[in-house]
Amino acid sequence: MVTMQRIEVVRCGLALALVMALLPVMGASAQEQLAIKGGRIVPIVGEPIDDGVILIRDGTIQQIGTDLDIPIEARVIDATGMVILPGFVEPHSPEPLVQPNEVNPNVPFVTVVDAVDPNAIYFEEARRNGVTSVHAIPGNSTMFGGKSAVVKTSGTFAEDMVLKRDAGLKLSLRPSGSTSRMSHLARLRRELDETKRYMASLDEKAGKTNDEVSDDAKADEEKDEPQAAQEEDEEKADEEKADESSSDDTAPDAQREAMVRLLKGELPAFLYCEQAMDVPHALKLIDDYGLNATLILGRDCHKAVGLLAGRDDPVILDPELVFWETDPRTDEDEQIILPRLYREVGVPITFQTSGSSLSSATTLGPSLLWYQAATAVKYGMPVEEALEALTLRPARLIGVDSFVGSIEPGKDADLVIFSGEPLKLGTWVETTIIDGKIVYRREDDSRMRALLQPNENSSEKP
Amino acid sequence: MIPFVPLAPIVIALLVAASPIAAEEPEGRGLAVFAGKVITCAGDPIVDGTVLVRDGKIEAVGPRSEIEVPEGYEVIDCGDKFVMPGLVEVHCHIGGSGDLNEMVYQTNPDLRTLDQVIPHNEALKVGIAGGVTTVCYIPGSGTNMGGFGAILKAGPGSLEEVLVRFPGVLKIAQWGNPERRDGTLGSGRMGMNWIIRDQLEEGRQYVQAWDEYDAGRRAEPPEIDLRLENFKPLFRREIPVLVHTQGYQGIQATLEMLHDSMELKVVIGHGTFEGYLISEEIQKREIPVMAGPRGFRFDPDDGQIHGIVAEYSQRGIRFLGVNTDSPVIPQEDLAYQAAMAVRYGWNEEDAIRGITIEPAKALMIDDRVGSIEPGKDADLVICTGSILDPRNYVTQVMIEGRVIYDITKDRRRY
Repeated sequence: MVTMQRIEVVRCGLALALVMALLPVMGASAQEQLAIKGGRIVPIVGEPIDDGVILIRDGTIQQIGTDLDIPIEARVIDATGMVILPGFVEPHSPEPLVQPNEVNPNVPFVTVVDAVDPNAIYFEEARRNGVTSVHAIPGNSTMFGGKSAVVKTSGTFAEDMVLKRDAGLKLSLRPSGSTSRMSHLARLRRELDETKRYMASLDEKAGKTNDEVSDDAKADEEKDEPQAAQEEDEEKADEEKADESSSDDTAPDAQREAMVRLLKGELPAFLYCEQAMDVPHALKLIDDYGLNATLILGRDCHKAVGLLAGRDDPVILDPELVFWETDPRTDEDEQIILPRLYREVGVPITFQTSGSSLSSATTLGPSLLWYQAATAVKYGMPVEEALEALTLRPARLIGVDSFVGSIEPGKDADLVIFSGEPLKLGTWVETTIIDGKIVYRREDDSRMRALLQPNENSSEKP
Repeated sequence: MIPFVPLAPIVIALLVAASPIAAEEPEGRGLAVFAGKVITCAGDPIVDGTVLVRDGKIEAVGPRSEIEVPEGYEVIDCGDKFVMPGLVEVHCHIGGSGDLNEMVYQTNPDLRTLDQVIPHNEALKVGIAGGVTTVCYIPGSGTNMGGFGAILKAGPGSLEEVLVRFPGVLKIAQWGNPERRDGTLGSGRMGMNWIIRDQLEEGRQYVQAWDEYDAGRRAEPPEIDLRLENFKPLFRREIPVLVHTQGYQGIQATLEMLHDSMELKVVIGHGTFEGYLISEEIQKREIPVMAGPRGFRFDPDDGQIHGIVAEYSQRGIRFLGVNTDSPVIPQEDLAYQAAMAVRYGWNEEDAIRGITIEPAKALMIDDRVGSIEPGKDADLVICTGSILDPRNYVTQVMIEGRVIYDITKDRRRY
């Protein structure tokens, strides 16, 4: 069925494989099986395997090793001389969305799935550059911007591309519209406090329901409590409807459900800090409200790096990794190298390709992801860590590491075959595979044909 | 509230009894139309054909040599002219006073264009001169759910006489106009789709409750909510939702939400920009595309101009038509929309169907209009040749057996 949620498909994968094994007629289609042989496999988890074989069935990695029997029905990709990596994972991007932000700054209930454009040029570029999963998330211009989703970078319907729905909730500390930081932060806290009160009222209701309070008392309470709590809520229009549609009095209504889950720690927060001064506020919010949060740090935030020392949770860096700053008093120029600064205090880092206020980052597109890792290597990051920061680390960060991020049996067959050493300038993505399907081949890349002649030295060429 | 019942018998009875023009077709007396070519839109065209009309309905159609004209039938001999079914407009905003966007609420399922219909108004009269006999008069796209539209005949008569069906369609707007820029919810895809889904869900639950009651699975009747009443025929799939949707992402969301998830009868009401790229999925669901009013798109990828309708057609979509979004394109230019689509690569046979039977099927009124077949309404257009040739013009239009427009008596209007 077209609208089946991805995550269910993935979870059913193993069971399905079992069923398929029992039904040889059904499982016999050669399309379902794929083998990649001859290349150097970099599984991220464990040591690289030279001249390895990867067996794929029904979109899932079955086996990796050196001396594996390739089933006769499997389609074989010869990757001799090439390097195979798990598909890259972008931990934060509004690029898949038609429009990154709602104008209303307080829309925690909306979902990016409604705005993902499978036809967006971003996805084509992502496949071309080996990005197979992306955390599609609202932009930084809203206070509570909506629920994010992790999507694969290939598909016809947004729904079918979803790997994880409600992967997080976007919060931004950048003042929305013309408001000041004071009022922005005040309102943000007020919304969180109101949600807490709302949760308390639900708990109370649940308690009373258990004690079998009379229906009348319940009705009164319904009338009073949400009214008081929502005095300053801007989305009044839909409030009654949402209340009506909720069959269970003690379950949060549709508009508040995301906020309730946020405060219960079930929905991770992705918290954007534009400036260094936002970082301490972010940390305080996390502590005060017990948020399960990931920080998305603007360029300027490196000045607050000391506050982050000793934190194990990875952060998402601004796309602009290296830049110059001028001291306003001495006029002295200083080069700022973000990966180095964060690594020096022990903060694990991940990369993103958009979200900066600078146009240079967005114009470079998803190709920047590997380039950033290469830049980090230039400034001291070991290659192994850089590759992990493109794959497993962001996968863990956005809660999809049981499906993607490394080459291991049971995981989604999201693989990228590079023409040579990854992170090297002259290396190209030869083939991108998502869920066992080839979604990009360099030799078929008509848009880049002039640039990407795959057989430069071929004598067949005119 | 106008009940959801076929009004044809009443209409015919009234027409026959009252109107002065109806005197041209005295009770019991039929009409025979001879034409050089009869384009039936139900099979091959008939050269030298006859159409028999009686009591406002088509009685028979066939080659002149095979159809015997009964005694006493009035004869209209059109010579070598063409006869075709009256044109059907799926997307019309000129059926009434024109105030079609209530901008206060973002969803307005309680609103109905029925409340401001002006039958046979000046714009519709000119439309008739262009051959348009049936219009779906719908709310605008200023909000995500503008209300319910009414399907009307363009000819004279009271509201009840011209009404084909109410509720005709629900109008939903998903992309490119309903966006709110004032800071309320719904400035983009996320907010708008949340709003639409939320409202439909409310409607679905309401209808479900009634269906359960009607089926005896629920003891107490649900409380009547007039705001949600018109959702009943919608969720029972008796009427379609006409969706102002375009672009790949927009149509993708339309298919997923309105068809797959809400299980509604869907009509794609614009389908413009790069929307044709998702044709395969539209085709799988057998959803009609009533494209326009934009006829072409400049594709920055290949630097070419693409005909929007032709692109759908080349990708296998047969349930295909055009619209004028009148007054965006004047109502009388419906045939022009089809003609331009042909110029951009569509084929003429499909183009004729795309302004007659295909829109009639999309609106689920093809039991009454859209083709020349026995039993259907005698809505006939007589033209100096193919209506797709801009050099030709309409000389006579008949609605339910009455000649509404005749250039020899009326001034030629178009």
